[in-house]
Amino acid sequence: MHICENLSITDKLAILTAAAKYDVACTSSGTARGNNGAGIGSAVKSGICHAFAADGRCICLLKILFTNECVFDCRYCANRASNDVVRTSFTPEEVCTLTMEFYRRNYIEGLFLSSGILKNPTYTMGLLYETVKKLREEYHFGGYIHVKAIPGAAPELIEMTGWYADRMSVNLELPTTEGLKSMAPNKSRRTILAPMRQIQQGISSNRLMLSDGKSRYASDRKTIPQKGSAELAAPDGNTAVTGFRRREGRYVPAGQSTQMIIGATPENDYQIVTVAEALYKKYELKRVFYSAFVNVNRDSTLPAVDGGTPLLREHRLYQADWLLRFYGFKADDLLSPEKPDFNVLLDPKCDWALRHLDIFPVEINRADYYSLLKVPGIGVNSAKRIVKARRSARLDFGDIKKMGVVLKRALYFITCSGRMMYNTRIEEDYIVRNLLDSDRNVKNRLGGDITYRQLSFFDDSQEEMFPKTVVRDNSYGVLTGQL
Amino acid sequence: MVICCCDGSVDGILTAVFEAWSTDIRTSEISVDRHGNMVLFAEYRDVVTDYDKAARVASAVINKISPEAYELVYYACLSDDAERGNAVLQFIRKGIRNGAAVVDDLQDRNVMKVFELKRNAFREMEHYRGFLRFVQQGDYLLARFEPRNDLLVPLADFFGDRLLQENFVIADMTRGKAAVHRAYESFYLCDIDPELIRNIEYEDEEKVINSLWKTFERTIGIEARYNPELQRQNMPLRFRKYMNMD
Repeated sequence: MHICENLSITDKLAILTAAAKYDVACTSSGTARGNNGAGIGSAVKSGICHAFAADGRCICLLKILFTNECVFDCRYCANRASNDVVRTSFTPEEVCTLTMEFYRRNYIEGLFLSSGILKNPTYTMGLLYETVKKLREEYHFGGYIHVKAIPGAAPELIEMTGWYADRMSVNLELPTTEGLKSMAPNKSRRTILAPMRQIQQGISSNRLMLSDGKSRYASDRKTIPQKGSAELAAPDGNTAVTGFRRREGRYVPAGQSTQMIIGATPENDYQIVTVAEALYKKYELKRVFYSAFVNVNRDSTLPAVDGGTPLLREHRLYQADWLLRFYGFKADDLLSPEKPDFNVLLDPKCDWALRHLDIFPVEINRADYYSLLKVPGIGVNSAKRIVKARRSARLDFGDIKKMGVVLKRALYFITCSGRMMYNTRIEEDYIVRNLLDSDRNVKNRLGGDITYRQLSFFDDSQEEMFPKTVVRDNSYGVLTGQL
Repeated sequence: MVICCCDGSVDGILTAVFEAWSTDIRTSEISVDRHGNMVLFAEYRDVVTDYDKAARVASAVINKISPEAYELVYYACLSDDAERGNAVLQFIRKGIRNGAAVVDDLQDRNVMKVFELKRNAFREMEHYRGFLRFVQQGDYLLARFEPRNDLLVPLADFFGDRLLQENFVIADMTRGKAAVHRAYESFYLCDIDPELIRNIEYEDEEKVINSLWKTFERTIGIEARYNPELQRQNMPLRFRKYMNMD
């Protein structure tokens, strides 16, 4: 391992940023607070994007690793022990100074601190704890802090860190235990789920805590019973290990998140979505992030992603994730073991609607909120606006268009005062043909060589029309190249 | 028909609402541009901004309609749309008659107009909360921007809380005015000459920190996902003028 002792701060920043860039969970949402009077900083509920990188992703936090020296040897990771790259570490002061100076100039919303495993997980977690504590207590930083909980670290440290962070996350890395075993020999499902459970219990007991922090209701309230898939069964973490409590802080107020790598192992979309649903229900996560796999190490046991990273698959998973969280869908509504992958060509909601044409068309002026939400092209905001606006007047297509309904997609599924917008048929092939024709997104992502001609969705003629690597369905091997 | 001409500021428009109301609300209109298109057979009346009258209208909106309605009116007044005065006038008229539910009547042309103006101004505000950049100039921080909507006051309000402990100036380069915030105090507005701060010198320490930031910004992108169109869609070029990017 090549450890550089006397690098300049610029070089360190470049190395440790490059090492952190594959982490996807860069959001600053979930907390709202004003300036605390002691030091600069506030947080906004919806989060703020401060810039966008060349890959189009939002930059809102100073996303860095504390160190890229790592004793673990995970196959997918650029910082694995067996890679020959320059290694370096920040000091807590350097991280604090960078954060403060960037924050004053409104470059960032806060800090996202992750780390390679230096010596052992507990030692590393100690360094992260020391850094965020310094930032909060010495620099009085009031902005957003997201810290990784290192799997396998001492629970005391994870608990104490939680009092200084807004959000914590433990990376699930891969959706199944087998996947994790083959890709990350030093990590186990148990060490990942234990801190996740611990943070969940910490959050829920903080919610029940009285303002003096001493007495609380039902401190060992039973968390949601764990039935169902053994895949995510976790050991019960201890809630309060140390009894430590920071007076002015709340425990992980923006909740916890996790991320999964998509396309490195042969899981199908159904497995991934089921795991995500279980995480939301059993671990009360705020977000699950999906990271399209990039083969940084050119590891021969990993898929060579010749057709580019599986970005469209990642996009579809995020769409499904939103359906789970805000639209009242369940994983089993969207996919099934018989149909385990999302349709590359249609978004999950359109796909679902086409399989349930019996409930359409929906009447805009009468249907209840949840029926409106099921219509492709109507989102949470527009559904709410429709429900409120129709109290005082009868709505027409022009009105709902201005309220934010995407008529391009919705027009096949709705009526206003009993009329469809155009003379359209409620017929699967017909709707698919028209929807695909207007979807620029799919055209761009599939390489743009779609020729205009009549197509029938269930024809095998599509195979000629799309590049060989992405045709047919979204089954794993096809989208990512073969194992 | 009476057309009340005001200066187009929030207080100006609210004063004009007051004047229109006391004349004859059914036939009055508000012009936000004193030299706009003239109409034959209309009486033009110049309205001088009066903070008491504006405050009376504002409190009527808050108390007789709702605080949410005032937020709509406020942000709609900040927009640069020439019709904002009339939309706001009709919105308030309907709101006083129908109460708090007026904000949901989106099929009404004027309500929708106010809603759209507010949405537009608010979105730009959200962008500038992230994209505004401060530059250290001696003992204060300077930020410059060129917003389409007149966002100086709400933005200074936001940063006045966030950077409570800093001296800073936010300058609107198109309208030639600035918000000055002294540490721990509330900010005040003043007129400036944009040409004086069009080109500024970076101090040595500033250059170091700025180049650190550029290093970060350059490195954080994933090459395999390179997508400048998406970057431009999320961060249009007009915001980047004072962002000092590569």
